[in-house]
Amino acid sequence: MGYQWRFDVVWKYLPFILGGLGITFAVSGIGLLIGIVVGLVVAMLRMQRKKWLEIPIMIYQDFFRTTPPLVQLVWVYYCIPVLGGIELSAFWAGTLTLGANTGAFLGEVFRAGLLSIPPGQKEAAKVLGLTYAQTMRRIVLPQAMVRMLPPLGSEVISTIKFSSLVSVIAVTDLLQRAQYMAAVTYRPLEFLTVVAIIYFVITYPFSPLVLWLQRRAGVGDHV
Amino acid sequence: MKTGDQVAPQPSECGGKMVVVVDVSKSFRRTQVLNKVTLRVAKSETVVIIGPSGAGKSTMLRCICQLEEIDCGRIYVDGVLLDGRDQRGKPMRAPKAQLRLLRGEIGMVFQLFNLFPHMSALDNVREALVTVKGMRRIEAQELATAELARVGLADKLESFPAKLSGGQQQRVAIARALAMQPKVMLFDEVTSALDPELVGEVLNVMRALAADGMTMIVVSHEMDFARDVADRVVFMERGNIVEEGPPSKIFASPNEERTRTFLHSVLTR
Repeated sequence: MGYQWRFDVVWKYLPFILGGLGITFAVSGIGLLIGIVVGLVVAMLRMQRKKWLEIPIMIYQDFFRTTPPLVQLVWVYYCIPVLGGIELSAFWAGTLTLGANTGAFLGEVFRAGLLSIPPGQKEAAKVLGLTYAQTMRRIVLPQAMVRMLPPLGSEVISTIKFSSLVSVIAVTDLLQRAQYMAAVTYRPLEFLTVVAIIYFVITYPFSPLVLWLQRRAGVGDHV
Repeated sequence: MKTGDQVAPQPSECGGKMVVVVDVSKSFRRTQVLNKVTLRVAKSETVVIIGPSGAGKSTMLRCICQLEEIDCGRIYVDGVLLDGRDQRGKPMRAPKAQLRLLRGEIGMVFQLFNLFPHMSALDNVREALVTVKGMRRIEAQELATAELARVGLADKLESFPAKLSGGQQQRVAIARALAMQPKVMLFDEVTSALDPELVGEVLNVMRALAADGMTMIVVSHEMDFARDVADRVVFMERGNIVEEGPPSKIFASPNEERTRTFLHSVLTR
């Protein structure tokens, strides 16, 4: 006996579900921004090769890279108020966790990118009198960014998908709204399918975008 | 020497020379690369340093242009103490901000060019004029164009390094250093990475520079260049200056057996 798909039910509540898009964009957008800043700082500090800087940073990175994001989220939302006495709203608990998680991964992406630039580039900038900041901004980062684009694109996609985890702590994002309607209408398959399609539509464009950016920045680069 | 005190430059030690390296030692981990080396280069003089690999030639240039910190000794350029260490290795040198401004006065050209691959030839030369010297872009463009014309690349302003031959890239690198109006130019085996047919165009630029009165210290394996252009040839081996003198003397009748052996091995290849 075949399953009776009822997408008309989803269609009826689609505006309600799409109302969660704003939250999804906010959580992943802010999380990504935090992640990029944290990742850059982490990568540049680790390049200094100072033990007392590197060890705490590596502990931070390893913690977020080796534990499930869902556990991190629940831990930050429920444990930090208990341990630290700091109340975080569900939205900020989710966003900050996502930012910290993304930062840990991007730290490695950025570090690999920075390490791929030959030391002669920094030396040339140094003998010309550029400061460390100028060297990074004008010489090293523009070259490293091109090489980091593909893994950066993957990380953006991951972050958007991970943002759906905040549904677990009752943040009303796309997934949370879809699950709510699924429960109300007893139509989980339809709602989850549609949500998957919406995530696909949001995240897919990043693949061609990365390719386009790479091709554009590739002008005059090493062959 | 009082601990930690900053010591005023000692022009008496410089004797009016442009580059003065006194008793400089440098080691990497356990390896002693420079062993109390002393070298004085006069204004407009061209000194060519020769010697086997591992002799410390490149390290000496890298110490002069402040890419390496010395372990002890003193380095002056135009009477200003750039890097100095007392016996115990305590630094005694110019403040950092001042040092950075002095960097542009020491032009360095590398074996592997080290051009910025994401910038056109013009932007490579213009970059430090704008970011370091604070020139206006138009002004910097004029100067950069003139410097590129001087090395024979007036028609390659907008070319990216990947589109240039090795010889052209190296000439852009020379123009980039020259645009900063350096008091001295350092050349670190600048033709070693070039195809043989491209060596000449780079050496010709350097010849013209020497003829213009630029102070130059050149580390090179090009013995013909040393013979023709050098005012003085310095032979280094194992972190020491073994022998120095005018090329006619060094190439024809060196005093030291080691110099003779080295020259014999490179000239009869």
